[in-house]
Amino acid sequence: MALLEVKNLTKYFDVTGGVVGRWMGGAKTLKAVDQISFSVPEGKTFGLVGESGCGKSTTARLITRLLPATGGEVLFQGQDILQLTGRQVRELRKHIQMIFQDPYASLNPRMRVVDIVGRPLIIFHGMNGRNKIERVAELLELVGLRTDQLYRYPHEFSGGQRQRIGIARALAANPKLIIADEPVSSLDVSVQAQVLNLLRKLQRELQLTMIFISHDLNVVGYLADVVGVMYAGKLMEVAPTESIFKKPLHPYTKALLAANPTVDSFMESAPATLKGEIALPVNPPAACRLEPRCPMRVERCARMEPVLTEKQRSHWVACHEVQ
Amino acid sequence: MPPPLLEVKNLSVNFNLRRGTLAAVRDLSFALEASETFGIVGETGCGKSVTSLAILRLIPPPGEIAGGEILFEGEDLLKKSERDMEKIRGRQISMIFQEPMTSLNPSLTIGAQIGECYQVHMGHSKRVARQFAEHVLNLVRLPSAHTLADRYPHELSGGMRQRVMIAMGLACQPKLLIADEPTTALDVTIQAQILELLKELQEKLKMALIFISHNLGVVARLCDRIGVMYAGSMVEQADTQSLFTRPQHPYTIALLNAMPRPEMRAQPLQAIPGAVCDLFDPPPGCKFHPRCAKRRAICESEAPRLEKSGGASLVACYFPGAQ
Repeated sequence: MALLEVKNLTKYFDVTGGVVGRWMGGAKTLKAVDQISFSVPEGKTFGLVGESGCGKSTTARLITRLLPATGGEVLFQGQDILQLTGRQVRELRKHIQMIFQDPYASLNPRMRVVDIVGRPLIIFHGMNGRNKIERVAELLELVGLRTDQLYRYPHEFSGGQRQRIGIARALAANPKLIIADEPVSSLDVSVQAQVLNLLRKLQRELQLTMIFISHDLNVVGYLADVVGVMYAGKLMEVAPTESIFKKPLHPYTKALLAANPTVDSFMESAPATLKGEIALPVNPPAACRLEPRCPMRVERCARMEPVLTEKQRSHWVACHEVQ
Repeated sequence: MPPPLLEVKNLSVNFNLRRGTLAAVRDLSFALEASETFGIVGETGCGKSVTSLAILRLIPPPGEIAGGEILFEGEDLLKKSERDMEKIRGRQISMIFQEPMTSLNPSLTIGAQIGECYQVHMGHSKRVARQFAEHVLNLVRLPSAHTLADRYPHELSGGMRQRVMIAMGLACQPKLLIADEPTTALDVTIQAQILELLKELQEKLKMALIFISHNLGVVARLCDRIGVMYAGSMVEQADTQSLFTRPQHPYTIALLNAMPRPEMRAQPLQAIPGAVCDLFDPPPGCKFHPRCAKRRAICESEAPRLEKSGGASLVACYFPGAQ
């Protein structure tokens, strides 16, 4: 059963730029996330991959109610969380926690580890005193830190260790769903591997459901069970990880894979298959968002927007040219 | 046999800080032939950027070049006067940086910035310099160079800015171009375009290229030979194929194993235990020994020298190879 079901989730930003902007060029709407749908089965990892500005972080913020959505539904255990108010949202955060990209900016430099990781315990579980400290110590051990580091400040830790603190904090609430937004992007390869292994171990041991967001295909491919590929606010392809990497169907996914630098591709000269720049979807026409850059485009692509449809078993693609 | 275009011999760079002396680069040697592409890879703090700055004598205080030679066409750059260096920088050896936004002057038009190289080094008038600037903008395949030259950096996208940086680097047709993480801030599809462009231009202009990156996959695509750095020292140097098919140094091997590969997702990643050593107080002997699975007594007392091992590879390890 799906723990989380996202249906036609939409977020538009008004980027007109004040009265002058309106007078100069009319209203401008950035369609950051545009009617995306996917579901995350319990105990699985859903990988969301795409380049900057594609809407992957906005999606995370919508699901955690850190941003109000323009439309759509987000069903968490069957309940639409976009309809929740005040106290209910706070209750929801007990179940959905986030791990952030920058381990330097996401930890309060004036708080000690015991207070950072202990805070969710106080807020969500009413734990205090000795109970709390014992639980924090347990959590630190779980993420591979030492219990004698309880009373240290974030600046005393390396980037990889800080990310472990961030993970411990997310786990403290005892959530059902963890949304990890680029959790390893700022780490070096050798440390990145440690954190990826930790995330996978925790996910298996604690039966966590996870949405893992990254621009790095290799990382997503390693961790995710199902991958969704986003481009300019739209989901272009959703399929099991194996299928995405072995037989990608969407031209954008193919281009991403071709451009993906791996150590196995050292003899190949990989041509850049996508020409031009990534355009932000501001007042986008009713067309495929990839159309201006797509090597497979036909006349139809510029006047009709393709819909995400199941082209093969559990393999969803939004492209006119894929059969 | 003519001397190599660039020969770095036993280069050491120190940063004298209040905490003590930070050994950023130690006893580093490598050579580069004309029109060759040499990649330097390593993780944060390994000294790869410091090396590139040292070649141009741009190490900011409190850093200083503590020893060694940097022979460019047989002449030691460390013995040159500051005035002579100014003639070499940008004319003979030029450099492009990671952050195109911070390394371009926001208050000068693109045309003026590129034109400056022609005015300073070639003594051209402003008007002629401007024409040359447009020509080099065409060379890096930026559209409508004539109007683009009148625009400011903030009006361009990240990929376009990096093309402008490359145009500036190429302006005076240097014999050596040093590119320090030129694609790190870019999205993968844009990165693929820039790599393709660099490769094409390098072949066309027959210049040598030093390409610095933390990403093994990117270096693999572009370089003829690769040097791997760890904690300020070169630990392995080999042609690209040997490095990836028969890596010799335990660090290189570990780094390759730590990279997530979607087709190997069944197994956990082989992370490198621990963290990079403290450069203020590096361990005695081989600096990698605290993290190395193959270490023995000698590794802890005496630093290995970079020597031939396994065909063409140079390795700084007492126990090189896979086993």
